[in-house]
Amino acid sequence: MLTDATFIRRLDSLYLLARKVLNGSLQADRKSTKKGTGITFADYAEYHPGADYRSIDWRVFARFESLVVKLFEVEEDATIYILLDQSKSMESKFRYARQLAAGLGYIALNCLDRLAVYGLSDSLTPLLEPARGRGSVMPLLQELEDARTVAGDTRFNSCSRLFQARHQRKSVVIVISDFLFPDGFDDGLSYLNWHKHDVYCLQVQNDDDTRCTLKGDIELECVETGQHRRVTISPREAALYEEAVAALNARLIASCASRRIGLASTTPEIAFDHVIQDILRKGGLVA
Amino acid sequence: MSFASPVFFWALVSLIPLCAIYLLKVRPTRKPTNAWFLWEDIFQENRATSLFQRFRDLFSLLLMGLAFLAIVLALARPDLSGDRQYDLILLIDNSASMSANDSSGVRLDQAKKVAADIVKALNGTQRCSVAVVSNEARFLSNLTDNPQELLTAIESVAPSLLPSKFDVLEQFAAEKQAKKQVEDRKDDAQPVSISKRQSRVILISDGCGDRSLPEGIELMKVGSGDRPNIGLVACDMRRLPGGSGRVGVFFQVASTWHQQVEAELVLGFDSPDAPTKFVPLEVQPGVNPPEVFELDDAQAGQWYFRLSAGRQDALRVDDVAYLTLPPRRPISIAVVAQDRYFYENCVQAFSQNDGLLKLSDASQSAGLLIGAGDFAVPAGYDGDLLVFQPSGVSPFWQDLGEEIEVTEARTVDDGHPVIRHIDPSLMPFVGARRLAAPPGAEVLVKAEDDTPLIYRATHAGRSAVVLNFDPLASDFYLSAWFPVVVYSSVTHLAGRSDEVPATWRTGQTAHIPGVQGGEKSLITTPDGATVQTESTRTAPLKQAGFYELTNNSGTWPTSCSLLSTGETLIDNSNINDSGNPVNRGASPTAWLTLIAIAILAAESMLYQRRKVG
Repeated sequence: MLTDATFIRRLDSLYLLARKVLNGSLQADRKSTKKGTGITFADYAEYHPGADYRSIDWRVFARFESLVVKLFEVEEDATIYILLDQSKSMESKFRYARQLAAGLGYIALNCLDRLAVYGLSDSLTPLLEPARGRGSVMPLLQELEDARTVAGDTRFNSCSRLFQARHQRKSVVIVISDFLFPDGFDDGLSYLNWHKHDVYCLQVQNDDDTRCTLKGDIELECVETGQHRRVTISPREAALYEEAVAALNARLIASCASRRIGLASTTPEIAFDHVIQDILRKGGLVA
Repeated sequence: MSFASPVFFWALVSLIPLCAIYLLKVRPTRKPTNAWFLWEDIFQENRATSLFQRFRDLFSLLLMGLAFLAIVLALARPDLSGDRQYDLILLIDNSASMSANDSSGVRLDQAKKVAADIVKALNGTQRCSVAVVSNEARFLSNLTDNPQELLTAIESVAPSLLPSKFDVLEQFAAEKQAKKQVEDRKDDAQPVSISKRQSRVILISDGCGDRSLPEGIELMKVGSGDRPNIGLVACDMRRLPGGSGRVGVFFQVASTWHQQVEAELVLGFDSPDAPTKFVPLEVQPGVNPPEVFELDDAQAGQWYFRLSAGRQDALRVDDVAYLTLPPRRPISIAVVAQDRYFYENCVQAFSQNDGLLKLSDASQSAGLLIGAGDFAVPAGYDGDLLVFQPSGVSPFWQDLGEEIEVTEARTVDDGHPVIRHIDPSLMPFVGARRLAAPPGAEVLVKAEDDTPLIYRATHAGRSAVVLNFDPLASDFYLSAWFPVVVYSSVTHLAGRSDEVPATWRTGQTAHIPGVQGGEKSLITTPDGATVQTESTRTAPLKQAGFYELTNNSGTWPTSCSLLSTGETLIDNSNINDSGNPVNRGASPTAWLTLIAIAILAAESMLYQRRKVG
C-alpha cells in the first residue's frame, strides 16, 4: 500500500536525506533569471519614482549621493510533472513505478513545489491535478494507489504534445516508463526539450523485458493491444529479441545524452528509495 | 501382396483419437509480451520460413500418421513374395569342398551368410529349420520362426572333411514329409493356412561332389570356382608278397586346372616334415590315371602323403593323405590232427606268402587251433578252433550221430567270409555225421535234412568253425578249396578276414581287426578323443589323421583321409541355381519398423523444435 504508515516513513526518510544532500535549500527555491523580491542580491538599478523605496541602498547614497535600489533574484516555485507510464506493458512493474512516483512527488510536495501527475498511455490521463504543500501528500498517495494500467499502445509522442498544450510554462518533467513505445520516444523527448522543460527519464525494465525466456511454439500476445500470433522462438529469435531490446535502450541513452536529458535505468529488484537516493546524491534531477 | 495378420489393420481406427490428441497437444500456449513491436520486427525478417511453420503442425501430424501406418503394416506382417505359406528348410553343405577358398572367400562362410540373409528375411510367420548336409544330414534347429535361434544354428555350422552324398537328402526329405504329414494330422483343427503349409527345401552348396540332387530340393549355389585345385583322390600302400620290406604304393590325383601342371608327391614317415621320397608328377586336367611305385624296406607306422603343386591351391585338405602300414602280426596256429601234414603245409605256404599265418609248435600259446577227427584240445588252450570231422564230445556240437549221406549241400549264407570263395554245393561232404549245432550257431552250409555241414559256433567266449565231413575221405586235402577254406576260416576266426586298407576315406566305417562282434573296442581319434564300440566296424570316420583301435587282440593303427574325387574337382562354374529366388536380407516387417523409427525420429525433431525452438 502506498498509503500505509511504513511506506510513508520510508518517504520521510527520503525527504530528510534530500534536505541534507541539498543543504536545506529546498524551499521552492528554483532560481529564476527574473529580478524581483527575494533574499538573494542580484544587482543595482537606478531609482525611478514608483520604485520600492525600501530597496534604496542608503549606504551607496551616502557615498555617491545617487539613489540606487538593490535588485534581488526572484525565487519562484517550480512545477514538477510526473508522467507515469500506465500502459499494460508496465503491469509487472507498475507498483514499482508508482513507488518511484510517490517518492519523487513526496519530496516535491514537501519542498513546496507544485506537483502534477499524469498517466501515460494512448492518451494523457491526469492522476493528480497540480497541487502544492504537504497537505497534498495523501491525495497524491491515494491517487497513485488507485491508479491502474490501461489497455492500448503507449503514445508517448502524442502525449508529449498534449502535455505541452496544457502546460506551456517551463517545468520539470519526470517520465517514469519502460520506454517500450511502439512509436518511439525521440519525438516526444525532443518536443519537451525544445520547449525548455527539464526532462528526466526514469526507465523501469525487468528481466522479462530485457531477456527472452520464451522458446518453442507459442502464441505471442501483445499485452497492450491484445494482438496475438503463433510463432516459433528458437535460440536465434531469442537472441534477436535481446539484441533489439539492447539496441532500444542504447538508443534511449544516446537520445537523452544528446539532449542533456537526465536518465536513470532501474529494475524492480532495486528498492525504489535506493534509486531516489542515488538520484539525489548525483545532484538531483539534472542531466 | 498378402498379410499374415490383417487383423492389425483395425488398429488404424485409433488414428482418429491420435489426430484429436495430437491437435490438442500441438495447440501452443499463449504468452504475453511487453515488446510486441520488437517481435514484429524480428518475425518480419523470418517471413521466408513462415510457410513451413504454418504447415509444420500438419506435416508433423502427417509424419505421426505415417509412422503409425508403418507400425500397423509391420504388425500385419506383409508378404511380398508369396512365400508366407512355405516353411523353409535350409540345408547348408559343409562337405570338404565347402572349405575351398575362392576369390570371394571360403565357400562355407558364403553359405552361412546366404542362410543368415534368408533367415533375416523371414516375415515372422514363416518357420524355418537349419540342417547341415555332407554325407549325412543333421538338423541344427527345430522348425521355428525365431530368427535368433536360427542364426545361432547357422553360426554353429563348422566345416567337415566328409564328402557330399546328396542321396541322403532323399531319405531326409521323405522323413520331413512324413513328419509334416503327422504334424498336419495333429493340426487339422487349426487354420489351413498355418497347419498345412508346404516346405521349400533349399540346399546352399557349391554343388560339387554329388551332383545328383533329389527332386524337390532347390540348389542355391555359392562359390565361383575361379581358383584351381589339385588333390589326392586315392592312395594306398601294401606289403608285397615275399615277406621282405617291399611295399607297393598306389595313388591317384585329380586337377581342375585347364592345362597340365607340374606337382610333387612327398612321402614322409612318422612326420609330415620328414620327407623320405619325392615323386615328381605331371598332372593332367581332370582325374589322372593311377600311378604305382614300390618302396624298399618301408617301415611299419604312420606315413604322410603330401601333394605339392607349387601354386596356390583352393583346397588344402585334399593335399594330404594319412596312411598306415601296419606291423606284421601273424596269426599263430597250432595243428592237432592225424593228418597234420596237410594242415601244417597249408599254414606254412601262407606264412611264406604274406606272413599272415604262422605255424606254432606250442599249442597252449597258439592263437588258434586246427583240429581234425578224434583230437583232444590241449590243456590250457582257450583260443578259437577250426574243426574238421567233429567227433567225441564238445560244446561246439550236440547229438553227434551216425554218418549221413549228403546228396545236396545247401548254402545258407554264401557271402560269409568262410565260404565266400568256394562253392559248397560242389563239395562231396563224405563222412558227414548227424549232429546239431549249439544254440546261437551260425549255419553256413547244411544238408538236405538240415544237418549243419559248415557252421560257426560260439561258447564261453570261444568261437569255432566246424566243417562236418571227413577231408581225407572227401579228397579235400587235394582240393584247391582246402587252403581257401583254411585261410578263410582262420582269418575269420581271428577277426582279420577283411583286408584293411592303409587309409580309409572320410565318411567310411573302418573295420576293427581282432574282433568278431560283441567284444569291446576302444577307438582313439586323431584329436585324442576315445569312443567305445562293440561292433566290428567303427562309426563313420569324420576326422582325417591317425586312429588307434584297441581291443583284446591288441592295438591296431589305422588312418583316414579325404580322398574324394568329387570334393577335389571343385570347379562349379557350370552349375547354376535351381528353383525360385528366395527373399534375402531384412524382411518387409523389419524395413517397416525401421521406417517407423526414422519417421518418429524426424517427428521428434520437429517436436523438439516446437518445444524449445
